[in-house]
Amino acid sequence: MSQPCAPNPAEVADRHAARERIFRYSAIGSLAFEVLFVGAVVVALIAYTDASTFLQSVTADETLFSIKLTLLTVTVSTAISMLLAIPAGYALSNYRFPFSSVIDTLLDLPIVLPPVAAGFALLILFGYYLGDPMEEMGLFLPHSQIGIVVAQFFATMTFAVRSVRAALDSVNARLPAVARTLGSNRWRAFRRVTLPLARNGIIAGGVLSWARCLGLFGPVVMFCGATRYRTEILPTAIFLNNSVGRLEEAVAGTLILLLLAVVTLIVFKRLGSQGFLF
Amino acid sequence: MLELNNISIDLGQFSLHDVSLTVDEGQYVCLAGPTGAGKTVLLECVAGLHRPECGRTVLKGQDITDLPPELRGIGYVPQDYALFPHMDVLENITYGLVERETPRQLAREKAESAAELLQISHLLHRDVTTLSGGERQRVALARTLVLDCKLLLLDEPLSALDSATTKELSLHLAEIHRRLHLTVLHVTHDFTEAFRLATHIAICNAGRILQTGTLEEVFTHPNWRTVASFLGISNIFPRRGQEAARCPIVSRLEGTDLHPRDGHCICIRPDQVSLRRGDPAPGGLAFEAVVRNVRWMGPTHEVTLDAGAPLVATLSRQEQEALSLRDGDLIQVSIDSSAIHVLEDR
Repeated sequence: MSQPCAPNPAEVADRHAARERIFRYSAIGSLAFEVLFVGAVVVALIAYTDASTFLQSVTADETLFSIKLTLLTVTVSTAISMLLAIPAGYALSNYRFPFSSVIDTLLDLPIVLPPVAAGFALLILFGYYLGDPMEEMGLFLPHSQIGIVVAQFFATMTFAVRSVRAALDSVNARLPAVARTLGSNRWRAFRRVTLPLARNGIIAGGVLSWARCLGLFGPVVMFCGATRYRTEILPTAIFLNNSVGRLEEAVAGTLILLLLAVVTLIVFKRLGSQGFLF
Repeated sequence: MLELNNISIDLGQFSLHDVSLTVDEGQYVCLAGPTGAGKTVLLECVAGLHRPECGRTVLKGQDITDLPPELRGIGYVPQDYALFPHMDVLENITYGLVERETPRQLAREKAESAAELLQISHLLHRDVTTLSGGERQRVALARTLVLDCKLLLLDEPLSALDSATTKELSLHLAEIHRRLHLTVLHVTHDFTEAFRLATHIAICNAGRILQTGTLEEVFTHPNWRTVASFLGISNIFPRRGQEAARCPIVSRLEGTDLHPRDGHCICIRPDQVSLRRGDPAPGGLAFEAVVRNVRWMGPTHEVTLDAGAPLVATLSRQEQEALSLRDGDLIQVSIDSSAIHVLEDR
């Protein structure tokens, strides 16, 4: 019976090198595809329009209205989210609750709830159940600009709370404890020790919440509708302009959102907290 | 100064059971025990960071059990020093003074004075993240000392330092204790640290205080097996079992007052075991043993003997030079009856 041939070391080395190459090229190839895909989308947007058309579209009354409304509502809703997220995140980080898993699930719901469903749920709450009593007080949220803030707040509050909690959790719990033995009450220890140490993480959370509000469309359209010069934020403007064939305006709106997204990413990365992004 | 009365708390991983301890003014008490004994939890209860489930904490006659940490006026230096990384050394030291609304100039003068005492004046404007372990320890101590707290809680302040720095800082701590008339409760898992610093010691294990007293009382008369083991006393012989049956020490004590009762064992400190060549020494317990190992420990030699059961003796350099013990030598062992201590086998 013949002995099996001993493998040739050179052939083994070649096969090994070939496998290494396949592994490396497939990894780099996947990365290249994804980068090119995003790059192609951006280039296509920029290439579709020219500077003068872009400027004309951006300075149009309707676009300016939607830019202003977007920046205003997004900033207000982010500010409210963060103002509530700091104490709420502190509570999650420092206190133990009964039924904490229920609290966690409820808090996470706005993130996983489909946007259209979230908007519809808000419509049912503030239109069907609370509509009449609130209207009597002179405040009817559906189809209003305040409603936009409410929809944006609902969609981003969990995100803000989670970001703040992660930032607070990253601070060594012994530091505020020692601050208390040095004479700080709970609030002073939070303000002088915890908050400065969690500042970057909290700002990063705020920046990302702001960015998330910026692109919010589903809940806003369901809850506030898509009425020109009334509830027309930038994503709504893109949708409306595209649906009536005004592509230059739609592209201008998209490029503005793209620009704001890039600025947000730069700010976020400068804060050195990439971990919150995904 | 400080009285802990029947403190109990359960934090899951760590707990305290009915702990009572008194620290008198001016004492330097080391709360010593193995890792996980509950020492830090006890210190944090005194500092006000945990509220005990039962029991009371009394400071200078005032019940402070329900007082928050900021109102207790107790200085606390945690194990990791917990310096505030976003503040420089000076800001760290003046932190508590700012909370007390001390005028800026006075706060600075106090900080400089504490820094001088701890020999860190040259570090006042340094970023705390760039300090060495010993420097961080001194800054943490200065941050507490500027507040003129009369009770100082130190949680393993020397455990993360190299031996030279530990020795230097031990001397410094002893000097500060003496000069500022402080009362100190110092947690450590290293009983040699207690020898350097403490006037009194409390041995803690499994969430209970086993024994308290002066260093000498506890070291010479440990009352629990766990205490003797923690103090590094290696010759502990139980009343029953194979080891006891083979041990001439236990069998020869039969019928005497020193023979351990049920639930007790005997312990003999290695430095109280005498060795000699030739005839057995008169009086006390005397028997022959074989030298199994002679280990040089720097200033002393540790001799492990086979006397039916292992027995450890400590010899000075001069004693070892006189005896010239080698492995396998037959040697006469004598133990004075005053060196035999009966203690609870727990």
